[in-house]
Amino acid sequence: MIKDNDRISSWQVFIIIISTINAVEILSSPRRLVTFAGPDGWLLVIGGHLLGALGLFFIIKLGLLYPKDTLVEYSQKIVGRFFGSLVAVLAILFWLLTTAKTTRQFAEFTHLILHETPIEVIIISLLVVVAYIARHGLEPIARMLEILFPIFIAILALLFFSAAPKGDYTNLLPFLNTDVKSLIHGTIDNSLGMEGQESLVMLLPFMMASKDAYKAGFAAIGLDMLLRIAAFIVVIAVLGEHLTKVFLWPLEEIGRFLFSPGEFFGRLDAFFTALWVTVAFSAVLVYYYLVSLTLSRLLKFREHTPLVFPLLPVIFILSLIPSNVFEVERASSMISWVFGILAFTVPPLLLLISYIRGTHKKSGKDVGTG
Amino acid sequence: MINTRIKNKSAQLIVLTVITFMLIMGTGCWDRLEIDDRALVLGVGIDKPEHQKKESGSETKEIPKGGLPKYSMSLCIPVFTNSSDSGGGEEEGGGGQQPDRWILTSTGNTIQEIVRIYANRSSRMIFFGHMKVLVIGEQVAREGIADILDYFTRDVDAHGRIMVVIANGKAKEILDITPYEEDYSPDYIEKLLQEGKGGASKIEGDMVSLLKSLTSSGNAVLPRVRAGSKSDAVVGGSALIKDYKMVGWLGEWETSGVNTIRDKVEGGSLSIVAPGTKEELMSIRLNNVKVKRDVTIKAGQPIFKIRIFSEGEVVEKPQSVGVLSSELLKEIERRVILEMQHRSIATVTKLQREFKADVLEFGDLLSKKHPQYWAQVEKDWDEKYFPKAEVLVESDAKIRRVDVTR
Repeated sequence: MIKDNDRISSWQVFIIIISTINAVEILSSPRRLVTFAGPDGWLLVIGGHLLGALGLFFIIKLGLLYPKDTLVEYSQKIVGRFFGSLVAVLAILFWLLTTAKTTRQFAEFTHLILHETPIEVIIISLLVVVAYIARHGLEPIARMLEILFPIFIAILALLFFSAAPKGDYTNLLPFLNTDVKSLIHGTIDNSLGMEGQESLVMLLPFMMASKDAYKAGFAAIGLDMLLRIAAFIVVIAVLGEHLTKVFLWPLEEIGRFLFSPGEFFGRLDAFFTALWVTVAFSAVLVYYYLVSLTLSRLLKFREHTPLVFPLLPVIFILSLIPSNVFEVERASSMISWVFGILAFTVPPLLLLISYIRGTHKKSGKDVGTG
Repeated sequence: MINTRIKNKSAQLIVLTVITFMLIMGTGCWDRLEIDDRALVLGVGIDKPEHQKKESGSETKEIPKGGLPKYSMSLCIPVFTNSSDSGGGEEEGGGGQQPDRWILTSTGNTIQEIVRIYANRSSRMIFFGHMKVLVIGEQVAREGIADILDYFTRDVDAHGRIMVVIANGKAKEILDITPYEEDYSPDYIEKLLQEGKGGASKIEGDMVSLLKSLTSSGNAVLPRVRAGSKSDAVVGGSALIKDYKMVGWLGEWETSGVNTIRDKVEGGSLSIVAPGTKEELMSIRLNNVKVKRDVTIKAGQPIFKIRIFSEGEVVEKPQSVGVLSSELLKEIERRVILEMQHRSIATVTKLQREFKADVLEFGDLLSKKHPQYWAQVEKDWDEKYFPKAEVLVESDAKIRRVDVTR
């Protein structure tokens, strides 16, 4: 059951989704896109996000058939208690891994600046703050992200506008010089980098006006698409195709030597670090909450609150598993593949079965075969 | 906000204490570094070590037995003295004035080794975040700059705006300069290289442009600096880098040619033989140079077309030329056109024949306009195809003004 004051507006859903999708890859995104398709990388973003939107469509459609249920409840209704619980467990594991991965990526990045600080301390600091907010429920999380979102956009805009005049836009040529195989490969890679939208499988019932879910979701994907394309274009223009591949985090490099428009601020990397902290924090917050929420639903707890702190050591340990920065990347890719499989196949499958079995027409507490 | 679910007052106190403690610990204490614990490096110079020079502090195990270490690196560190009551106070007696900068030099086999030696010599932590200039001595540059660049690009603090220059001579001499106009030599060098409208005969570019050039073709041009005396440096001309190694110098004239062809020139001046004279010169200042570059492929060979349009004004003329008129200006224009053409073609020829290195971004142009062709020739571009490429230079000029006198 959902506390009445834990409802979120569609604007908040929009912000939640975009804050979460963005966190995952925007820093290294230009480099990945360039590796697949050179200067045509921005095309991959369009394709990838369209695929993502398709996946989101199924998620929302499915969720709207069961307006008061989250994934945990309706998957049990559709495929029975055992398989439904299995779906929920998979979701929990996935979100657990994603929380750990994002936390670790955040810590690695911060560690570059805070060189002496042990990485464990960075992780704990983040998790403690996140856990504190997550305990209070969805609405405070949404409000927190509402505050952070304009900051995030403002810093991003500052970066873009500072870098844009310095770019050589002919670096975006040659156009369409990439083979189709790489384009497809890259598009899929991009669509896998959109973890965050699947949060709607759990959050839909919390919406005040769930019919606006489509609008909010697609708007979020649309905005993210524009942001990533802009990031890519700016990075390629300023650094050129080859240099982009050298840096681990090309957008950050740009921040390091840019001056803001009018040479007012220098060394924008301070802003950039702030941006990354904001973004990573938002994502970890949402995922952490999702894990505790889903687990609480699965175990039929009345509230998710008691599960929040116990999860902290779990995530802490998970985030420390990769032993170097490349393993973090690899783990991250693996998790993205898991996302791809889960988020793009499970909802349509459930949708199909739901139609076949007509379980969405039933109301009440029937869980099981129909 | 204390969670009011803890009703017990002493439990509340404990929670509050723990939270406060965590807050204090969490304020980045590990990485706290006071400003006066940092040694801000303004400029770095890298040379080959002198034979048999023993640096104190370098008597560590890292120096190989026999043979010389690979690098001799110098840092220019400003020293901020506590000059309390300066106000015209002459320091007499005692030891004279404390110098306001420290040129710290050490040797080692890798940059990091040297930085570690610095840690044993400097009481403050070496910080590259304010580095403005990286001077690489000619000898080192000829052996290759890739490894040096790797250190500074990987470093989190060093940033893309660092100017990289090649010293004609020793890099340390450049750092040793006490310039008149600026406080420290790295500031001076940085400003020297930045004044854009001054002319086309020097290269403008920072670490990022250097890296861009190197990662796409392995070639680059870097500004040349030489120590004129103890208090000034001379910039001009450039060093040609091919495959991450320096292979030669380009003079000021040729550098102007390179800049023009790369469409990076903002101004500049020309000396031409004044019309009606045999060898007397007159000076034209260029204010506006527009360059269009294009490439076509004919019969499997690239043909590059450079169109240069210059606008200029007469700034100096010899007396024998007489009063200027429109017709005279047209003749001057003709000579400017020839000069621009001559300069560009001579530069291209030198790069094609003598160095076989494309620093004119021709390969880049090809990769954008004819990617399939570029894919075929990319590997042997410098050695095989670039030297044979046909380059057509078209030039046009207009002299608009003669400043104030006729």
